Amino acid sequence: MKVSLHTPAAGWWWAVAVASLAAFPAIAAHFGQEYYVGLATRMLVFGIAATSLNLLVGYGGMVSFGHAAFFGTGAYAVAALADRGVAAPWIAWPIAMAVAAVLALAIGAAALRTRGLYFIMITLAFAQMVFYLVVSVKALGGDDGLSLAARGIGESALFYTALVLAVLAVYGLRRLANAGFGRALQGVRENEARMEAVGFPVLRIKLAAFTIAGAVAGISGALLATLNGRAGPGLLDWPQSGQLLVMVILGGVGQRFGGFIGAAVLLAMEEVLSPYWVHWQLVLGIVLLAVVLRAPRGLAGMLARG
Amino acid sequence: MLRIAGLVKRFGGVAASDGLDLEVRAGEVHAVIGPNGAGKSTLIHQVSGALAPDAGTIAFEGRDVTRLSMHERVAAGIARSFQVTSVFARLAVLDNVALAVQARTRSCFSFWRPAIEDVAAFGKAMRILDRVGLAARAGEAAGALSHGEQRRLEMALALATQARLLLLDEPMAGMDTAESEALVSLLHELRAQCTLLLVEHDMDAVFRLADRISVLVYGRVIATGTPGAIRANEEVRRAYLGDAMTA
Amino acid sequence: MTAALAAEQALNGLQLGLMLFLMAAGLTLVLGIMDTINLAHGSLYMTGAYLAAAVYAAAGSFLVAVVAAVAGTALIGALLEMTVLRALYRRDHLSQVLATFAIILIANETIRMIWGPQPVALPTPRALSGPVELLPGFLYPAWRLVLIAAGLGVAVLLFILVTYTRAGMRVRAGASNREMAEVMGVDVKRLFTVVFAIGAALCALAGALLGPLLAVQVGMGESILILAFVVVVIGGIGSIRGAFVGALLVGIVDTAGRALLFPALASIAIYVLMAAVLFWKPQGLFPARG
Repeated sequence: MKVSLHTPAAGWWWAVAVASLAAFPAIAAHFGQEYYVGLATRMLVFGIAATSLNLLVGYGGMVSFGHAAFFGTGAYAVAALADRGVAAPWIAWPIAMAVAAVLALAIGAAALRTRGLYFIMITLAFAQMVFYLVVSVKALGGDDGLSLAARGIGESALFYTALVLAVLAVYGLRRLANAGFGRALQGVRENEARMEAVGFPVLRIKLAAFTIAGAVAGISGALLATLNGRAGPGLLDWPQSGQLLVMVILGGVGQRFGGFIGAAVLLAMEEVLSPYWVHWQLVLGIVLLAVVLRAPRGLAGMLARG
Repeated sequence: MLRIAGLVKRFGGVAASDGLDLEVRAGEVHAVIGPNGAGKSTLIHQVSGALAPDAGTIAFEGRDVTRLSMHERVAAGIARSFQVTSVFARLAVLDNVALAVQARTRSCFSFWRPAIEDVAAFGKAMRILDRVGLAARAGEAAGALSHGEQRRLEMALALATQARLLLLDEPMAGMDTAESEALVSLLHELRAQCTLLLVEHDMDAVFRLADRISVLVYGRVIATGTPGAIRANEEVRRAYLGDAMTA
Repeated sequence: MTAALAAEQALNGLQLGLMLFLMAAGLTLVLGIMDTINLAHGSLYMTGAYLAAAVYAAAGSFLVAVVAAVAGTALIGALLEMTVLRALYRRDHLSQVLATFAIILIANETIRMIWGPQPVALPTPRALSGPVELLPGFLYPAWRLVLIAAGLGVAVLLFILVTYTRAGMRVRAGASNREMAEVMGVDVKRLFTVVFAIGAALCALAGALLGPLLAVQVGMGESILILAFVVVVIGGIGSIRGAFVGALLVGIVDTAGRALLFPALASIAIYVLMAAVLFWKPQGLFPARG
C-alpha cells in the first residue's frame, strides 16, 4: 500500500464545515442551547491538542504516552499567571505556549535518545514526574488545582478564538507536513535508519517535532484552563495522555483531521453516555479494544513499525 | 582518500576490529574479503559512523572523521548501503530518491514551502533513477520492487547523497546471476563518480570489479593487493582454507 | 536522623523495592520476550488485591486469600494472554498501547461495578500485625518483614528457574530467536502464555501482600505500574537481574527521598534517578537484548 508524502488541500466541504461552525453560536442561541457552545469549544480545544499529538504519532511515528505533561503545563501556566494578576489571554497564552515548548524541549532531549518501548515508558514516566511535581507545590493548588480569578474573555469570543486556532492548526499541519521538514519527519517514521544513512539529522528533526507538538498542546491547555476557569492535576495525569491517544486513534492516525474527529467523537460519547450510565467508560474500553484488534487499514495504515 | 589506522572495536571479550589498518585510494574499487566473523561488517559500520571505535583513527580526505556522527559523515562525502535492503518501502520510488536529494539541501528545516515545488530536486531524482534504470518504476511503492531493483534503488539513494566514498556491505547478497550481472555493470558505472569500498563474499564479482583487495582475518588486514596478487598469496589461501577462494 | 530511624527507612526501602521487583519481573519478561508493552499489568495487581480481599472476607484466612488471589489472577492473566495479548505481539507499539489501555478502562470499570469506588478492606492478619523486635530497642512491623521475606524468596526462585532449569532455557531461547525456538520444538505459544501467567501471579502476590499496607481501590494498579516502568527502564528491558537491581534502587531512592528531601523533590527523586541512568546507559543497566 503506497503512502504519499504530500497532503493535498481539502475540498470545498472544509469551507462549509468552518462556515457552519462559525454560525454555530448564533444558531445555538436561537434555540436556547447556549450550553453546547461550551461543548463545541471543548471539542475544538481537545482537537487542537489531539492534532499536536497526531503530528508526533501519525506523522513522526513517535508513540508518546506523556503528552498530558505539555497540555496540563499550558493550563497551569495560565492559572498561575492569572494568580499573579496576568489575566489577559493574549499575554498569558503565548507565555503558556512558551513554557510548554521549553518543557517539551527538555523532556524530548532526554527521551528521544531512546526508541520503541523505552520511549513509550520514558515519556510516561517524565509526564508523571511533572504531575507529581505540580501536585506537590502548594502554590499551584495541590490536589485541588488552581482556579482562575477571572476568565478574561467572553464565552462566545473564546469559541471563535478556538475556531480560528483550530483552523490555523489544521492549515499549519498541512503546510508543515508538505514542507521539507514534514517530509523528513515522515521519512523518519518510515525508516529511521535509512534517513540517518542518507544524511538527515534525525535526532534534531524528532526533537523539533516533539517541541512543536508540545507547544501546540500547551496553547490548547491554556485555552482549556480559560474555558474551565481552572487548571486541575487531572490534566497532567496519565489518563489524560491516554485520552489524547484515543482521540488520535479514533479520528485517524496520520490523517490531517484525525485529531478533531477523534476529539469530537470521544467528547460526544462522554456527553451522550455518561448521564445514562456512570460506567460508560466500560463501553469506551470495549469499543477501543474492538477498533484496535479488528482494525482495518485505518490503524495500521499510517503507522511505522514499533 | 580513506586512511584507517589502528582501529579497535570490542564486543564483550571479542575484538571484531583488532588493530586494523587500511588505505583506500581515490577513484579505486577496493574490496574487503575474509572468512565469516572476520569483522567486515563491523569495519563498514565504523567507517559509516554507525559504530564508534574503541581506539584508532579514521581519516577521510585528510580530515579526521573518527568522532563525527553519521549524518555529518554523509555531509562530508561518505555514504553506505545496507546489508539487508533498507529503503522506504511504503513510499514511491521517486519519493525515496527525492528524500535523499533533499537531504543535501538542508530542506528538513524548511517549515512552510511545499517540498514538491522543489522542481530542481525532483528533476535530479529522476535523472538518478534514470541512471540506475529505475525511471519507469518511479511512481510505484518501493516495496513492490524486486530484490535486485531494490538494490538498485539503494544505489540511487547512495548516488543522491553525492558521496565521494561509497561503502557497500555485501551488495550482491541474495541475488541470482542475472541480477548480479546487472549490479556489477551498475557498479562499474558508479566508479566513475565515486570511490567504492565494498565488503563481499561473491568472489566472482570481487575479482571482476576490484582494483585492490584487502583480506581481513580476525579483525586485521593480513594482505592488500591486486586481485592477481591476492589469489597467489599463500597466507591468504591458508586463512581461507580454500572454501571461498575456490567458489 | 537516628540509627534506628535510618535502619527503619532502609528496611522500608528494601520492602518497597522487593514488591516493585515482583511487578517488574513479569513486566520486563513480557517487554523483552514478546516485545510488547502491557499497560494492563497494573490491572492484574489490582485484581490480585481485590480477589484477596474478597476471599479473605469470605474465608477468614489470609493464606487462603493469597493462594486464591495468585491462582485466580494467574488464570485471568492466561486467559487475557490467549485472547488479547496474543493478537498484539506482531502489531505495532501504538496498537499495543491502546489495546492494553482499553483493558485498563474495562478492568477499572468492572471492578467499580462489582465493588464500588470506595476502598475495600484487606486487614493485616492478626498474628502478624504487631511489631517485631529485630534488635534491642529496634521494632519493625512484622508484616513488612513478611513482604521482605516473600520478595527475597521469589527473587531466588526466579533466578534459579531462569538460569538453571530447562524451562528457563526455553524462555531465553524464545526471547532471542522465536523462529529458531519453534523449529527446535519449543511450543512458543504456550511458553508465552506461561510467562504471562507467571507475571500475573507475581503481580497478584504483590497486590495481596501490599493490600494491608496500601488502599485496595480502583486505579491502585496504575500508580505502581509507572514505578514498575521506571524500574524496567533503569534495569534494562528483558533482564530479571536488571529488574531486581532497578527495583531495589527505586525502592531505596524513593523511600530515602521521602525521608530526607522536600516533598516536591522527594516525589520526583526516582525520575531524576531514571534520567541519570538513561544519560549514562540509554538501554538500562543490564539490557538483555543487543
